[in-house]
This record gives sequence, C-alpha cells and structure tokens, in this order.
Amino acid sequence: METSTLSREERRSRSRPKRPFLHRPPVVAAIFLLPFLVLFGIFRVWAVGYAVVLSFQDIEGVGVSDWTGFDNYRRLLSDSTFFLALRNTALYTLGTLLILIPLPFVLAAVLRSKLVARPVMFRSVFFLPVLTSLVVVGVIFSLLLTTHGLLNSFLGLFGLPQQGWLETRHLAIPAMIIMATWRWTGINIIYFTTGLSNIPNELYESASVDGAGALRKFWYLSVPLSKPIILFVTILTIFGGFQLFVEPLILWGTGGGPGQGGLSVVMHLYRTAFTSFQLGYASAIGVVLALMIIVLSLVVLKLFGFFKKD
Amino acid sequence: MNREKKSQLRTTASQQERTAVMDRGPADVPPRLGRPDTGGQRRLTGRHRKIIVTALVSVIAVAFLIPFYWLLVSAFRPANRVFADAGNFFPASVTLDNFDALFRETSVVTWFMNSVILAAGSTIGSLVVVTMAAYALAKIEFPFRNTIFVGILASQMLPFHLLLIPLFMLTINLGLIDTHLGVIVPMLAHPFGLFYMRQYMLGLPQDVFDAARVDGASEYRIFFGIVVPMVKPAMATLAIIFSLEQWNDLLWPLIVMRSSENYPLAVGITTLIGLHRPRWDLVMTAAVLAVIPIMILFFLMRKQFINGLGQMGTGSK
Repeated sequence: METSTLSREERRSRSRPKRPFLHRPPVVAAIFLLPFLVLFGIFRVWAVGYAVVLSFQDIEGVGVSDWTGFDNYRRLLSDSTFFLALRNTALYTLGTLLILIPLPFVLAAVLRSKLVARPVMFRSVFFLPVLTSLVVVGVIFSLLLTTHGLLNSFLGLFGLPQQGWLETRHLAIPAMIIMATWRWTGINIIYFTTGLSNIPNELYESASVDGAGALRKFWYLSVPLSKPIILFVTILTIFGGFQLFVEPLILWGTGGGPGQGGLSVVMHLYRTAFTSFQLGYASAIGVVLALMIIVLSLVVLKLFGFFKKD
Repeated sequence: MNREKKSQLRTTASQQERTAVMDRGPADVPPRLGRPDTGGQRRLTGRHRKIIVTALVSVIAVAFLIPFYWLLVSAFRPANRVFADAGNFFPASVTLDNFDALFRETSVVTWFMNSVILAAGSTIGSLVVVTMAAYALAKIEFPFRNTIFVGILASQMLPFHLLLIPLFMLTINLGLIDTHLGVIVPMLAHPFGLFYMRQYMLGLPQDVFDAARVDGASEYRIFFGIVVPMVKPAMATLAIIFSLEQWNDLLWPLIVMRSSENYPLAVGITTLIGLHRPRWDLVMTAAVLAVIPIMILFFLMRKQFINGLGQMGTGSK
C-alpha cells in the first residue's frame, strides 16, 4: 500500500511527462489483466448471465428458442423428480457434514497431540484418497460395496447381515456417504491442522497450569477456537455436497440408482440438458441450485455469527 | 516452527503430572524446548497412552489404505473373477491378462496421452494467465483494483454446474467442441489460482520493485526479470493443483469430447462402465493407470502437495 503511493508520487514528479502510453500504470495493468479478464468475462460473467437468460426460455436443441417467462420455474415446482433429487442431495450433504467435520477434526487434533508416533506418515495416508479422481473412487467402491464385496464380508465378521449397498434404494445415499468419508477426510484433516496450529500455545500452557487434561483442553480450547476453520469446512462441505454428480454416475450411470435413490440435483440437471436436451429447463435447475447453495451458505454464516456473540 | 510447537505441546501435556508428582518448581515456568528424553519412569503412563492412540489411528489408516489394495488386487484377478472374488483378501490367481486386454481392446494409450496433453496445456495456460493478472492486482496501482479482485473471488461461490449449459453452447459456437482447446480454454481463468498468486506476490519485498522502477526498468522488464523468477515456488504449487484438477476432471471433458480418440482417461473409463456389458476387468486396470502417475508425483513432492492443497480454499473451478 504505502509503497505504491510512493511510486505514484514518483510518477507525478518525474517520469510522468516522459512516460510513453504503453508504460502508464493503468495501461500496464490493463495489459497484464487482459488475458484473465477476457477469459473470465466470457466464460464466467457472461456465462452466468446467459444461464439466467436461458432459464426463461424454452429451447429444444441448439438454436430454436422461445421466451417463456417463469414457465421453467413453475414446472420445477411440480417436478417430483426434482424434489426427489433435492431430498437425496440434502440427505447426502447432511450425512457428509455429520461425518466429515467431527472425524477429521478429532484425527487432526490427535495427530497434532504427540500422542501418536509418526504423524506425518499418517497424515499422508489419510491424504492419498484426496488425490484419487472421483471416477477411480467410484470404481473402487463399486467393488467394495458389491453384495459379495469387502464391506459385507466385514459386516459378516460381526454377524451382521449382508446388505445390497448398490441395489437397495434407501442404501444409495449411505453408500455414497461412505465413499465421501474415504475421499474427503484427508483434505479436511489438512484444513483443521492448519486451523489448530494457529491457536496460540500459551493458551494450552495456562490451561495445563490450571490442571486441564487433554480432553478438557480439546473441548474447551481446540473446538471453540477452531470455529472459523470449522465454518469454512462446513461451507465447503455444503458446496461439495450439493454438487454431487460423479459418484452416482460411476455407480449407477445416469439412471440415478435403485429406485432413483441415488439421483442428485446435478444428475437431474445433466439428464435434462444432455439426455432430453431441454437446455432452458436445465438452466432453471442450475439457477435454483446456485441460489440454494448461496442461501444455505449465508444461513450457516449467520448461525455461526450468532454463536460467536454469545 | 511446527515441530517446536508440537514438542512444546508434548511437554505441557506431561507437565501437570510432573509438577504434581515430582514437585519440580513453580508451575508457571515455561516448558523448555528441545528437552531430551525426560526419563522412563515418569513418562510410563504417557508412553502407554501413546501406544494405544497410535494403534487406534493405525487401524483407521489401514482402513484408508485397503481400497487402494483392493483396486490393485482386482486389476490382477482373472476377468471373470473381478466381482466374484471381490470379498477375498488375496487373489486366488494372478494374471496380467487384463492389462493385455486393455492395451489391445481400448485406445488407452491415446486416452492417457490426451490426459497428459490436457493437464499440461491447462497448467501452462492457467499459469501464464494467472501470473500476469496477479502481478497487476498485487503490484500496480490502478482504479477499481480491489473491486475487480473481490468480484473475481466472489464468483467462486457459484457452482460450476450453473455454467454447464452456456459453456456447452459457447464451445459449440466457437467450433471448439471435441477439441483439446474446448476443454482447456474455458477453465483457464482460475480464480483460486489468481488469489493464491496475488497473496504470494504481496509478500515479495517491495524494495526490489522500487529499486528497479527508480532505475528506470519498465513494468514489463520487472515482470519477466524479477517477478517471474521470484514466484517460481508459487508456480510449482499451482502447477500441482492445476494439473491434478485437470487430470481428475470428468464432467467438462465428458461434455466437450465426442470422439473416442479425444477422450482423456477419466472419460474413457466412464465409457467402459457405460457399455451394455460393463468391462470391469478393463475398468480396474485403467483405473490403476490413472492413479499411478499421481501417486508417483505425490511421493516425490509430498510437501508441496500437502501445503498446496491445504491452502486450496474453495476448491476447483
């Protein structure tokens, strides 16, 4: 900040009259920004606007379009498949929130606590699934979750009955939550580790002096002081959850799984756009999805804000 | 620094016991750092606890490794046993037939090369675009600088799927459908990349820039002669993020690429699953091929991966 004003003065006093057009700061800035802003303008800003415009149209294929006002949105309200997809997506998001916040948080805290030998090695192990593409994750879990697969053999060890994870309607969401747990725990551990290392050590020291044990320090220091990072991960998880697509695609194709129990909002969007080619209606689904994510994120922010003031 | 903190934590954890049992002076004496082993006796309970906790974490860690093992083992099972033996820990018989079939029956080598081209292209392209823009936003004073930056970041709150249809139509109109450019170009302006690079540049010492400007160097010379060499570490981190993202992406290439010889690996695998009778033997082996390069890269550059992805704010797109 300070230095840039300095260079501005400098420009004014000395170099301004001599400075050729291509070397004036706003021109230089424009040239450096140009590639990014052009690409961003076309493929982000314009595309968002166009998506909204499309959502008010009836488009069959590419080219033919009719302006239909809110028809697509009205149709959405009576689209039972959309509500089924929304329910599935919401359940999946809720499930991932319930697992992917506490489990990685505890693991991150434990791995930092010196109660574990070789924490770096463990962190790497938990991190490996993060690098695996969702396609491969889907492939692996098609194997593990099959009726004679590993998970059922494991349940058998405890005398539990075999489950048709990929064939039963109400197990479609739990199956995908199991996959999500494997895939995302590692990255959340990294986020939480970063958050925990920002907590000043003196707090832990004085807590020890006051006679607090490890559990108390975890509950009364680590958890409340990690609120910002927990908030961040919560919003990321919601964001990711609502964009569920590749997992059901690999497990069940575009069919949406047993009894459409694995149908997600994005899968519904994809099918509407690229199977039935109703591009306008699919855009309306996209707009509603975006609004839901934004509103939900704002609600979460608000909730956390309230807790902070107490 | 991190290690220092950790060892401090360990000392504090055992401090209360120590002060209680051994009465080692006032409790508010700060724990000493880098203290050598404090002797067996006192830490016996601590050591037991450490063994138990490590064992528990190990069990979870093994559970996290098993899926990889399963993928690998399945790729070597005979084709008709892939699902039949999916619950068996050890393969009854090991065969390389699946790899042989994969190379003979599919264009897996082409798919692999497409993945490499897409990853390299989008990484280099994004790096150029992002580094240039970040320099303007971090080091040049001009009107609406912060507005532009905040606007770009805010766009991250929109899901990519909202853009799917406009981008699809745009790609058709630009004649980029079924081309590598069609996959790469729409994703080049990477908001997180810009954010990361700008933060990094803000941390560069300003004196260098001032000195260069006083010496009469143009902004262009400063950029190529000073900035680019200085931001190489940030570029390395972003290169990992960009290439990983592109390597693992499915949805956008699935929409853009039409002909089989243009598929990247992820799309190729998906089409093998989508067949009338899915070829799981081929799927497993192709999945192994998709994972191997990333794993090798990870073990070579573990630190950059964990730091880079740890900072990777709002994720992809």
